[in-house]
Amino acid sequence: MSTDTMLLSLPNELLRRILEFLPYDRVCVCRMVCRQFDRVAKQHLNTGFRRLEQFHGRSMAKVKQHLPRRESERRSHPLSRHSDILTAIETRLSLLGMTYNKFIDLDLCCFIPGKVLDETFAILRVLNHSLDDKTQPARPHELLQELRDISSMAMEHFDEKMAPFLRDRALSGCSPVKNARDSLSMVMIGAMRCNASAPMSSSSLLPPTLPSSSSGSLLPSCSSINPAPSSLTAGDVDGRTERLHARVKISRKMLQYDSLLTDFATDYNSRTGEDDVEQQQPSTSRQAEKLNQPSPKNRSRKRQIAEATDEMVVEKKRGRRAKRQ
Amino acid sequence: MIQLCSNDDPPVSFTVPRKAVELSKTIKTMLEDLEGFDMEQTPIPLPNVDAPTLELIVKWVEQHQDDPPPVEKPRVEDDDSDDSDADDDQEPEVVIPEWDKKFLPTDDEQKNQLFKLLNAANYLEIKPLLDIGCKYVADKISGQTVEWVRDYLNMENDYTPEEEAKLKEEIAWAEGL
Repeated sequence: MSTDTMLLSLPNELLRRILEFLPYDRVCVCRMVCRQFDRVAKQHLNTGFRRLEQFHGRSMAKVKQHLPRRESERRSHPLSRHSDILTAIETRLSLLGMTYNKFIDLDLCCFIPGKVLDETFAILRVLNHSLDDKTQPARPHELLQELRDISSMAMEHFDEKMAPFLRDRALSGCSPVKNARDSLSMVMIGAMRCNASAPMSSSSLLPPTLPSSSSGSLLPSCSSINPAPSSLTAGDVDGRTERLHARVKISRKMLQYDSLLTDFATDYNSRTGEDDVEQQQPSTSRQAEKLNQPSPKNRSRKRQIAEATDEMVVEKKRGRRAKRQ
Repeated sequence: MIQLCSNDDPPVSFTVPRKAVELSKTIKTMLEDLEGFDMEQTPIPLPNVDAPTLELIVKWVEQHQDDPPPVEKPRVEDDDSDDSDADDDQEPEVVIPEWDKKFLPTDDEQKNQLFKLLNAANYLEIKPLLDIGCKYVADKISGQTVEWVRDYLNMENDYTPEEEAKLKEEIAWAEGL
């Protein structure tokens, strides 16, 4: 039994149980202990991110159950703030997923920022408590400030320091690509390669699908998308892969753009004291339209006009139907 | 009453009330499978547990035999490979009761005994004991340096200097927070 006296001989499952009682931030630091601990901690962090997404999904479903369908009614609903916060978190999670998931799938790294997991879990629990107690949570910008800061820090650090190294590893062929789903992993590596030649920066956030006129006063215009690489590895690239690769890149850009808009909307409303931040993620064209408007006043006025027009159209339709009958 | 035997040579046996021994899921399942046999006359050998550890286990199950059974959470259908039963909707909350605090071998000289106990609790599937033991270890290593954790858990640094530097860089994003 001499080896049994060591925790090293304990099954990984037990180590994971111990990690479950630690904050994710602490789990990250514990990766430095030894390789076994690192393996278990990585798995725990990846599971943590999956659980967070599921927890967010459950919370979102719970709030959506109580919200009215119509956007105009939703804005004045007591749960509108919950929905705002959850929408902003959803965008954050998508961004984080876009940053880390492709590398996680290729087993090149794990979900590194444990602190982000801790913070997001804490926010979701606060939201759930306030939902149960029927109280209002703190204003979105206050509640989400820390999450926004640390998740951006983590993603920037990853893009600058980690991603180039991991991409090289993936492309040099020493990665365990054998485990990955063939075509998908090739697309992902392609996307990585493309990003390597045009690293994502805050100055290129607008999606390439936007017309140039819509890259308005709030955001700098977007650099055009780089053409897909002509070859990924010998013999593996065809037209289909390139199209998929371009799609991955576009969707990432769209999400960054969405995130920026959500953040902007939240900040704007917190500054003007309004609580009725728009609930939904509007379509890209509508977002672009919004950005094009010179001042917040104009924006809200136009929104009111648009709603009134919508109402009028509905009324007209009703009138016509009544006439026909 | 059920007899449990340690893996020592010669084996040390302990007689435990059936209700208490059924706190172990492993033994409970075995007893259910062997329904019809006279288990009171057949000692159960435990090849992974030595006498001092088994003594601790017996002491713990006898103390907790009248505890209300833990509430089994319904398993979510699409909860893929994640075998953890943690409930994310609530802050994970395990409070170590006073009696258990005194019971756990918590002195630094006794840490190997604690790890043996955790091993045995895992093998015998005694979840509440496993929970308080793991919670204790987690509290112990929380806020300590990496070197301290390594020493406490009898682990060795098996990274190359390059790997260690790379890992440091990987987690460096949160420095200064």
